[in-house]
Amino acid sequence: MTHLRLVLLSVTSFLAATTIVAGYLAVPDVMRIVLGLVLVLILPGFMLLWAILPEGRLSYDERLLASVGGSMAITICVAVSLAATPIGLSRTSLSVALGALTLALSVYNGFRTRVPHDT
Amino acid sequence: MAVALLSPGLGLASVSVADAASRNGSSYTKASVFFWFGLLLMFVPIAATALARGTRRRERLLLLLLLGVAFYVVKILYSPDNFGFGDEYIQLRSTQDILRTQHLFAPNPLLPTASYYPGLPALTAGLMDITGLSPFTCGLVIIGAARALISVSVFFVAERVTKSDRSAAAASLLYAANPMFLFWSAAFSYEDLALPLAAFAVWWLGKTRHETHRLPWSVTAVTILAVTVTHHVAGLALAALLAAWWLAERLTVGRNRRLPELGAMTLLAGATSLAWLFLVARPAAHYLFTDNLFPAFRRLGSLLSGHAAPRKLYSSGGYVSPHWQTFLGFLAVILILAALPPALYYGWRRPRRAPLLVAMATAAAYPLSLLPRLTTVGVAISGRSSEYLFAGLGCVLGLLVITPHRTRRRHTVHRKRFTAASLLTTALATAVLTTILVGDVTIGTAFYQQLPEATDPRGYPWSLQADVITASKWTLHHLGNNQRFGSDAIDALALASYGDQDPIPGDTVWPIFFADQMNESVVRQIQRAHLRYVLLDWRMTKGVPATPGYYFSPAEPGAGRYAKAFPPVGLEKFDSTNCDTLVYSAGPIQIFNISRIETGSCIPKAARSARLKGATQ
Repeated sequence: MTHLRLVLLSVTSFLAATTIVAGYLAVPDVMRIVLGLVLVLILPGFMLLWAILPEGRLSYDERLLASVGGSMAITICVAVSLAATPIGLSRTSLSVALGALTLALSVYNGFRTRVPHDT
Repeated sequence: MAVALLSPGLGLASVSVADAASRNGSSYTKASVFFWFGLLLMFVPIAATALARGTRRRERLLLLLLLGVAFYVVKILYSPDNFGFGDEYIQLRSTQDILRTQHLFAPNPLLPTASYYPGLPALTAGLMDITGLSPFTCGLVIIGAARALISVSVFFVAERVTKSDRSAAAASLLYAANPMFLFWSAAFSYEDLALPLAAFAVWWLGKTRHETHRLPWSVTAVTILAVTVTHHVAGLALAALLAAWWLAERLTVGRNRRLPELGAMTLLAGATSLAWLFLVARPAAHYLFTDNLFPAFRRLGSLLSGHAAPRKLYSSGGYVSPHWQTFLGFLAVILILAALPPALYYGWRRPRRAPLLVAMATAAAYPLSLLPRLTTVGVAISGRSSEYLFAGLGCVLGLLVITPHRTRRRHTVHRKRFTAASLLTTALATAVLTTILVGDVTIGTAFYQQLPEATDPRGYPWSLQADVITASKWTLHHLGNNQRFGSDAIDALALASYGDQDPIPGDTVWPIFFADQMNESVVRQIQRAHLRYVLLDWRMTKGVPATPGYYFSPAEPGAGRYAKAFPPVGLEKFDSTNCDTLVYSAGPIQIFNISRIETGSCIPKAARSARLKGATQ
């Protein structure tokens, strides 16, 4: 695992975990806004891409596009699914669902990159 | 390159001057000079640089992204404090319903179909929940991200289709010049999120379909599902495009290892779109086919068979566009139609590849899409189809930028002549694309709507006014939500969104307002519609409706051809009976409580005397 990848995984996991916590606690507005925008528009897609495509298949601009597009698609599906179930769409349910998904993908990516044959 | 990067900022400054002048009541002729100058300042340097032969691929991409975002900011400058277009209030109402109930499918009184496509409202409500931002800010962020997504996706898709980043730049520029791109596609509306997602899905599919493992298909599948729950037409269009792609590949390449996966995605898109349309979003089929498509085709049939006259273009609600706009609008269409046959020919001569064939088929449909524009009911269909068709049109016409060069390169010995030819092509393409942009903006947006309405408009306004928003908020705080209201179509938008009220449909409300007296027929209609309040906007009596050409409903007498303002007697009747109570009055806005008529506990004099007369006879 390269140093950069380790840093990215750690940062993503930290952000996802913080967003879950922020769903329950009162946090400063600026922090809430930044975390929310990153979680909804970038992180889920970014982590999903990392999980499904080997490194080097996409250029930086393509990866950014796919992260934003994938994140928006994932968030729509998660938000609509939550609102369609008895759980309902709320600050807590969405931040937990998206944060948990991002964390799960981070853990998977961390595990995957430690396996020697996965290059 | 530096000029191209700086020009959008200067262009936006010029547009903001035009908007401010228009709000302060300057005439269109004066204010629009800054608007058009700003638009050209944004477009021309970017187009010239992006089309130049020496520009690098990443620079082209950056410039086109910049153009897409700059055009989006034009719409923000147009309406910087609040939503400005009718469709935005429909989505605002759905968003508020999801926030309030935390669940889907609460009835939307403005457009029942909208609540069955909850992708945009659910995403907005989710972002509001997590960030605590207002619906307006969240809407701007989401549609802004969608604008960036489509600007880049169109470039990437066109690059894969044409195999040239220069052609892709031309395709993206033409797409940005489509009639709806500047204003309509930048609105907080469900199609403006679904279409960028669909474009992203197409690019992703093309990019990853030759990967050895199947995990990338999960992103395609999730995006297809997101498009399906976000917009009906975008979902069906994506399914149709994938089906055309599968068919074209089957015909050109034959069976190959990756065809079944493409077929599976086609099936997924088709099955989910149709299942959602017919099983979940039941009012949508009626809205799409019975209310929109069939009437447009019927009218088109009448027109083609000579039984109906064509609509007068470039005029609505008593306004007639400046002649130069009419001229450039026609010129834009003529330029595209003239360039299409040679572009299709060049495309046909190139190696047969499925994506190019699909783009050619899409482009070939463009002339047909112009026909419904000649009918009153077909304008919307023709306009909105351009958002889809211009993607294919751009790919095909973009070939013209590179094809002459290739031919010329073989025969030209002198490098200088080649460079001159390249410069000429860039200049010519920039000029043609600029003409198409200007012409298409005039096609997509009536001239008086290209700039914001004056803060204190004379006559009947065509946009939502601040005093109506204030009145609507008052109703929420003092009358509670979900009260059944009667009002004109524009003010109903504020009542349903800011007031969280339930305005009754225009088709039901117009006979109540148009009657001269509070007679028995009006009382019956009030009771049938369970109407409890009416909002009167006395500005209706000061001028004719410009857009959409009616006060309440397209079915009302005089819709689309008003010469005189609404008769005051239609509004005065609400104040002439002891059964109504005036509960709000501020400037030209009045709200009457008519619930005693609705419940039957009070019968207005005119209705009572009619009843007595009927009883004595």
